[in-house]
Amino acid sequence: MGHYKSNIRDLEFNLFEVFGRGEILGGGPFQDIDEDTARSILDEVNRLATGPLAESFEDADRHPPVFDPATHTVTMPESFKKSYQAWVDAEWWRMELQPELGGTPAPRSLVWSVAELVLGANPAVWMFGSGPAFARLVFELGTEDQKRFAELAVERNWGSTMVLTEPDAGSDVGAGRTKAVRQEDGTWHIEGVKRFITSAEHDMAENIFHLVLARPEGHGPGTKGLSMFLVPKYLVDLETGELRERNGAYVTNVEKKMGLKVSTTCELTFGEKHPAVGYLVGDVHDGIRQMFMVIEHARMMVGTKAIATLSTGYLNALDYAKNRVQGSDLSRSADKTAPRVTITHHPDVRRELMLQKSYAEAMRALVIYTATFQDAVQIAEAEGRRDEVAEAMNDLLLPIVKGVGSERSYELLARSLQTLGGSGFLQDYPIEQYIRDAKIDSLYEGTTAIQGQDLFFRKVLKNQGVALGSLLGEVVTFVGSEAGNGRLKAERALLGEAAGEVKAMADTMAGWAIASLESPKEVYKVGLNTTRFLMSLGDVVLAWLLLRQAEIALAALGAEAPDAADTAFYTGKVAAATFFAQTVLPRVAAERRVLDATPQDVMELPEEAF
Amino acid sequence: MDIVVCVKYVPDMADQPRFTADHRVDRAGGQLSELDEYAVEQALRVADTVPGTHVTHLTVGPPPAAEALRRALAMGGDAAVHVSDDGIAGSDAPATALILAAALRRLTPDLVLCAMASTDGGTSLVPAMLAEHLEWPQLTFAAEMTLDQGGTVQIRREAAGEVRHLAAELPAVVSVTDRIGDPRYPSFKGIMAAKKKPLDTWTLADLGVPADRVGPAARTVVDGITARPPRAAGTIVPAEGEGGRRLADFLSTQKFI
Repeated sequence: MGHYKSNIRDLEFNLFEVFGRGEILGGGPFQDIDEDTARSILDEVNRLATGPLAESFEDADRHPPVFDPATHTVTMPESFKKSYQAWVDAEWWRMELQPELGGTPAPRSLVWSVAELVLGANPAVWMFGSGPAFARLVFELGTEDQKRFAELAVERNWGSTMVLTEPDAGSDVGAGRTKAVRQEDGTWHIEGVKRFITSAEHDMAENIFHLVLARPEGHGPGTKGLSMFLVPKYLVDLETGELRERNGAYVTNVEKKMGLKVSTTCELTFGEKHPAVGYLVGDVHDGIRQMFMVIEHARMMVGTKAIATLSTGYLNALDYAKNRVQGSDLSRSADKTAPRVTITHHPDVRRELMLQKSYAEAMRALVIYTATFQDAVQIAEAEGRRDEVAEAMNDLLLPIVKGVGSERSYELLARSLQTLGGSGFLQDYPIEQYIRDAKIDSLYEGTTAIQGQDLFFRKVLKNQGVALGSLLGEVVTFVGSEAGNGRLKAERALLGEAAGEVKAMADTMAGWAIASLESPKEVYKVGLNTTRFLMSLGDVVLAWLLLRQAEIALAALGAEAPDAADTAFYTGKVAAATFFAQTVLPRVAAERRVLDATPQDVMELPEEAF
Repeated sequence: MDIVVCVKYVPDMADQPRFTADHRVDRAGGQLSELDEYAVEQALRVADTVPGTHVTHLTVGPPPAAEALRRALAMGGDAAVHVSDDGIAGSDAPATALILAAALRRLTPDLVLCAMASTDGGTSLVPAMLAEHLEWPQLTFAAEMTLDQGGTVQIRREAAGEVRHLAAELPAVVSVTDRIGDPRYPSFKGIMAAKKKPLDTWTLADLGVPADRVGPAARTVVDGITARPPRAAGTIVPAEGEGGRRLADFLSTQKFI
């Protein structure tokens, strides 16, 4: 068996038992995919993920891609090429495409469930496979020629990248200096150096297209002056589909990294050797808005990647703990003749495992819950309208998926490793690689600090608390319900308290933000707490989702006798929700106390004193 | 070229096998037998290279066995036939072969492909019995298979420690091993297409198989089931002192050397 341990039962539980996706499958824009088909899809992707996709996970880490600076080319490890080809051949990416591009639309909740399996088995496979999703965007936003380009990109399995970051413009995208010079034929020449570009060079596709943010000459500073350009590695004859000459965008370095080594992280230089021809996407200067459509997708992907990795980390730890015999039962520790037991018998191991399980499963629920709003947006679009409520809720939840998902996963993967004791430190087990591969998730597509700021300033403050109010309103309604028929009464009370604390945190921060209009330094108090608020709101939402699951699990346990496997599954659901409510939620009150008492001391401290 | 692949719906053998009160295999949560995937793959490879090839998947089993057919159809092929009848429950290998043979007479294929064995029963008998019923040649345990224009099938048979190259005129029954080539994974298109492919259900009456020769009339009866005893602890010979000699002694008393 490979390293990857998936959890199809939990995915199906979320999709069909908790979030009722059966109701939207088989109808509307998703008429070709009914519930049975969705289950077959998960089943088959699971086989593919646990088989050929997972197979190269370790080898590609130990034998990472090789960059040749003389030719600006990258040679990928053979093992990984096989995994990637298996993914391309199976064509699951068609679920992301509109019918005009040869796709069969599936709800985002199903797409992200499929993504979890791939991202858990071998995340770089999904990332190198971004071509269809980016082609979809080019097709949506592009001119007639660019639509034709998108069709070719899908047909020919071209790779793709999103190109924002520069050596001096990371989180501060608006500081970008790469420029675009308009040519007489209407095309543009891109000049500059971009950094940290994922998948910008490899030998697994005949062409790669870059979506590049650059500043047209004469445009103003900041993000508003940026436009988005389509810059292919090879120019293309749109009539015949044949590749023409090499375009002037070359990879000039591939980074050496802590983990996720098989994913090429490149420096991409435009127009140094010869012109790098770019096409203004949609022939409109609307770069940052266009690029945000890519970024949102990328943030959801990164959160899902982190959570998928935690889930397989936990399941590997669990498997080890069930088999590792060490020591006797704590209650018989004085008895030298007591039988040795597996370490799942030890209280500290149980506590650690339960913490991993509850977070891993809660965050899976968070991904699918968030995706249900994306489903609603899709359905509305298909009906020619907009669902602004769902859009706002998706906006609110995205920084939680990305920020909380990546931070908690990295933190808890350390616990997964800890479960294995000294063995966890060895490369005989996959967890050390999980940790190295998952660290990037709190960094790229906006660091956790950026997620916290995005959550509070844009998704709460700018939204005037509407989406947050509606989310917490649902939590409060649940708290006041009879969910669990008394069985979850104490847990609901804990959730109610924590929801109150987090609401108070938001109010306090909003107060400081308003006060900062008069005295600007008050905003530092907000800035000192945005990550704290992100994580606290995350814990409340996760607890709520676990308790919703527990309510459904209790009903299933009370109905006609479930079989042994289902009984174990549902019992575990109730236990995870209770454990999380009892051991994690009370901490939110402490976070609120810390927040309330925020002084300016840290901001006033001279730098030399650090 | 018409090919029929005989497939079986079996319990997931990764789990502990479960049995019903009357000693029958509990197939709840079952799947297409993994060994059958190799036979399906061979049929699809012929279809990929020989235009006009028509592949039908055939199974005998209870209603949920249709899932095995759908999975085979998702891999590829054109149609499926499910022989399902309450009277079949309890059938053994000879009874199953009788029913399959009746269905095959109706389907009149040029080539019948089977796996080397089912992953649950594991008798490897059904392909031979089919050949007997149909009075066709049987080529079993194929690790390689080729068809030529003149209507013959050739195989490399790997079994019982020997390799044989065999050929037969079509129609013929061929069983394949898991060394003949890895089965493909169903693609998204494959799954979507499978839903639209014809899947017919036939009964015993449709096939004219007398009910008193199958099901409860099976010639073999399971009297009891005992779980395999847990493996005894192995003998450890430490690599020290006289270790080499003791290892050699152990191997010779076990008649390995």
